[in-house]
Amino acid sequence: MISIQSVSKRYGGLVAVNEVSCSIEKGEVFALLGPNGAGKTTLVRMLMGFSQPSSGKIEIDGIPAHDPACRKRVGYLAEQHRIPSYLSGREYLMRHAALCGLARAEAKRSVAEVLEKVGMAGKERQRAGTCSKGMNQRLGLAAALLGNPKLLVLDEPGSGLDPLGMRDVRVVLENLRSEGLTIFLNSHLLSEMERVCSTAAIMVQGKIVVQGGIDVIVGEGESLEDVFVRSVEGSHV
Amino acid sequence: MSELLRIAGFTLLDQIRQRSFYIMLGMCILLVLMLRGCYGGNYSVNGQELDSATVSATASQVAFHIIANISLLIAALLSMNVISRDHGDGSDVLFLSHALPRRSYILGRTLGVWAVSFLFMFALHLTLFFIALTKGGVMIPGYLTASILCSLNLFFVVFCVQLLSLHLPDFLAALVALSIAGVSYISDSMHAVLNSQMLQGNIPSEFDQAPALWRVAWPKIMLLQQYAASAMGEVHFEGMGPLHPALNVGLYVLLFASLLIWSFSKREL
Repeated sequence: MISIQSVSKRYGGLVAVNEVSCSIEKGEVFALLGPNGAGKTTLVRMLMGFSQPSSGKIEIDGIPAHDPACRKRVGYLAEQHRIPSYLSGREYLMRHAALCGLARAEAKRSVAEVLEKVGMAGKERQRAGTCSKGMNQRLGLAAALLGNPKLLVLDEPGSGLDPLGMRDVRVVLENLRSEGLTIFLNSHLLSEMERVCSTAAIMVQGKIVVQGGIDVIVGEGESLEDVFVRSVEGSHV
Repeated sequence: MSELLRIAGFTLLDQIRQRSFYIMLGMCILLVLMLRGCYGGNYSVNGQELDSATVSATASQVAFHIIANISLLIAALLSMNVISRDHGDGSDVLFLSHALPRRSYILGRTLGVWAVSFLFMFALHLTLFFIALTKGGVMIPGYLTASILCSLNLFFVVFCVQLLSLHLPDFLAALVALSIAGVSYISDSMHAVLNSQMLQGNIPSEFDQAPALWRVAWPKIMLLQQYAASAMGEVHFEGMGPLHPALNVGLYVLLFASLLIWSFSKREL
């Protein structure tokens, strides 16, 4: 589904992503983990076509990531997700639905459905400018779910959410996983990731240092957090 | 094409939700009220009082140019922060995370801003057209056609500001675009005055020369406005160089549109 081959991204002398390769199969829930400044968001931005790799190539379903056609069935939630303050949640989602190519009646139905899924039903008329960070995050997740995506790319989905909100997001992700959706997650929430994801990669200083199935990289009697700390500290030695 | 129109529609809706839109609307209403006063006065030339039809026709000509120029300013102000505002409020990610080509997004945004500016200008011209009709009993058939012709100038300003705002701070982008229009006003107005019927035959030979190449190639904003005004009749129009001003401005619009699409497609979001 996603193929990342020897991708590097340089900003002048700074190498943000260094020869990263990995592939995510259909139906996988993949977690990209790493400390701040590891290059995770840069990689996600290249995956979404917002930024071009300096070298290497990224493909979604065999289509290069810079080609808009590859995002036809991709739902995306940005890190530090923002919504124009003058739009209500409903208007925001209706715009997304229109951009997904849904007809008005279908869009209305889909919007109601995703609002229910993320626990925002009944609050959709509120303007984004007056919504809390957590409510905006839920609306962002709702937008990503519109149009029946085959692939979800979620950059810090738990950002700004309280523990209850994070639990709700986890439940949504678990449901989507059971529906067979492919999910690419970039997150710091290791315990949540361990419960939701099937595969993971740990990125440090622009390179992937550990990658594989959760049950393979997390050994007997340890947690994903232990693996994460060991990988990050090991890379700094 | 439908994507482009959809983005343009969203842009229209976004623009009318900005506070700056209502400030400009208020200023335009004030302008109409002020211009309306010009139609009611008594004017005399060489001791002879002008009839209301002459007053209306002349006032309409002057008002046409004032409105066209103010519309250029409105277009520059509306377009200067579209890209940076979209980046700030996450609208660019909203649009481009879908299967939407970047060119459709940027052209849709540009088309939307142009549509708002044009609606402003056309509504003002239409109001003045009806004021001339009701106050002076004069119907100027080419008035609205002239307004539509001037919309090409709005395209020029919107594309120019959008392109420059990718490389310069917003305010500077608007200032540079308006300066280009300003140079055109000075250069083209001099040309129009020197070629006016009143001065023809009385011009000293040192002024009766072909204009410099840069003046011929410079965007012909004012000359296009002059050409549009000639559609109302009674206005003499004299072109400059081999290209018609509409073609000159049209070519600049195409050039800026191509550069805008190219620059935006290379931009990191």
